[in-house]
Amino acid sequence: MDILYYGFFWKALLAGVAFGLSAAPTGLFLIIRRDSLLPHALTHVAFTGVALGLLLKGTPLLLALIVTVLSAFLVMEIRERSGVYEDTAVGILASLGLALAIVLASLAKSYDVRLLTYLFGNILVLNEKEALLSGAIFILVLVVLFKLGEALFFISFDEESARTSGLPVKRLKLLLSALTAVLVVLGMKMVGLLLVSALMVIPGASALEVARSLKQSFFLSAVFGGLSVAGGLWSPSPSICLLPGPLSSSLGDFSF
Amino acid sequence: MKEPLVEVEKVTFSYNGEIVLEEVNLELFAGDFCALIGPNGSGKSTLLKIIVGLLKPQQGRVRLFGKEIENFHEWWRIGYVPQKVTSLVDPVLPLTVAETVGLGLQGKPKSHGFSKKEVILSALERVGLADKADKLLRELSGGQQQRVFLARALVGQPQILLLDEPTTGVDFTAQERFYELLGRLNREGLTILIVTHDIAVVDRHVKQVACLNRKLVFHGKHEDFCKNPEVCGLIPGPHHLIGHLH
Repeated sequence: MDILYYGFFWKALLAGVAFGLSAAPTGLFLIIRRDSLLPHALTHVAFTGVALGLLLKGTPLLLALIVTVLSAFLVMEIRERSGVYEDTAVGILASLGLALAIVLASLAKSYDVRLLTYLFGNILVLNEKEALLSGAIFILVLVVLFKLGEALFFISFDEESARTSGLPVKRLKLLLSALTAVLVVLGMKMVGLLLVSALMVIPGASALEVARSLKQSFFLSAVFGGLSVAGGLWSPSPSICLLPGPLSSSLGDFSF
Repeated sequence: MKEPLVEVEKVTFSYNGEIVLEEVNLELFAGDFCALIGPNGSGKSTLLKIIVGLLKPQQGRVRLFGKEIENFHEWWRIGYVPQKVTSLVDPVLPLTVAETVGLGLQGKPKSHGFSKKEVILSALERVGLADKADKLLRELSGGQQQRVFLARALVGQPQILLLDEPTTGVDFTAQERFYELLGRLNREGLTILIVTHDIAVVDRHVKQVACLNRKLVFHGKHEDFCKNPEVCGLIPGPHHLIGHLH
């Protein structure tokens, strides 16, 4: 296992596991809300942000983050105000995101390897800042889970009763949307836009199959998420390069 | 003079221009056990949702414990059991009974001197399900699930309990047991307002009946309800008075 001697591997492993541990429990809230397609739709919007970044010659990741967080808030507002079905709003967001991304990418003349990097991701080329960001998000999710996990579950499970108990439902929903958006953008660099939603949904779905309590579900989803990303870094030999992103997602699928 | 815990004054509400409630007045005092009845579409659930702040009336006002609802923040004083709670029970979700009841503590002040587990078990004891605390909610019968949601509403030690057709989809025996439990809670001092269709079952336990048909057409002692054939005729099915436990 010569690869273990390389610093980039350990950086990828730590950042990836931190991502898996954060994304899976956050995704579990979305599953309980019957909103597991939201991360998938947000990946399309993040793609718009990337294309905009390439067009404006700015920082694609930063623009993706801004566009995705704002879109997550927007889709929440649309659902609350217009009364459209939740999956309809998500479907519209996904198609709009992808369409805009294609238009912007063609304007930027950036149908090249730069775009593919975001589509398929590569956890092995994470830089220091991205690895640190992953760690920071992990700590943030941990704090949110311990402090507000039960309240977030309450609004996901029975929003009407949560409202009558005086919980700040809208602010909690905004928090969940923002966390989802941030994780989507972070995961984009690691496993790619096409597969990031798998790591947010499948570990939670697997956990629900085997857990015997809600606490266990969240714990197991984090474990499955962390293991999926760590397993994705496995390679039978240093000369064989398996793509970590697709391998992580496949492991998640198989665990289900 | 005794101050009402709930005061609904000239409340009007419409869905898409269609008036559902028109100038409804209703007062609920400490110790009351009132059934809110009426034909389908008469606005019963809408009125309850207005009282708990889920809907905002177009006209009129609601006061809770003497405060305008907009300025009321002590939601722990109100326990709420929504409609069709059994539909919330997800066959995929591994939620334990204790975890379900614990949700009722959200937004409520902490009980000093008692652990969270003790408070939850005490609420479960009140509904006769303390031995089921570690069971999965989905493994209980419909009647037991109803009582778990009642325990969730009770766990924050509310002073008033509002229930929206809590026994829908539950068999007659479980309904009887549920209403007997509500009667006991009322005798222990809890004020209760219950939206129901089951007037034949509930009238053995309630002290007052409020009948809605867009407007409040009756509010008084349940014994007097069926003396008025015009009002009594609004409610389908048998609604003779079987007796009274108080």
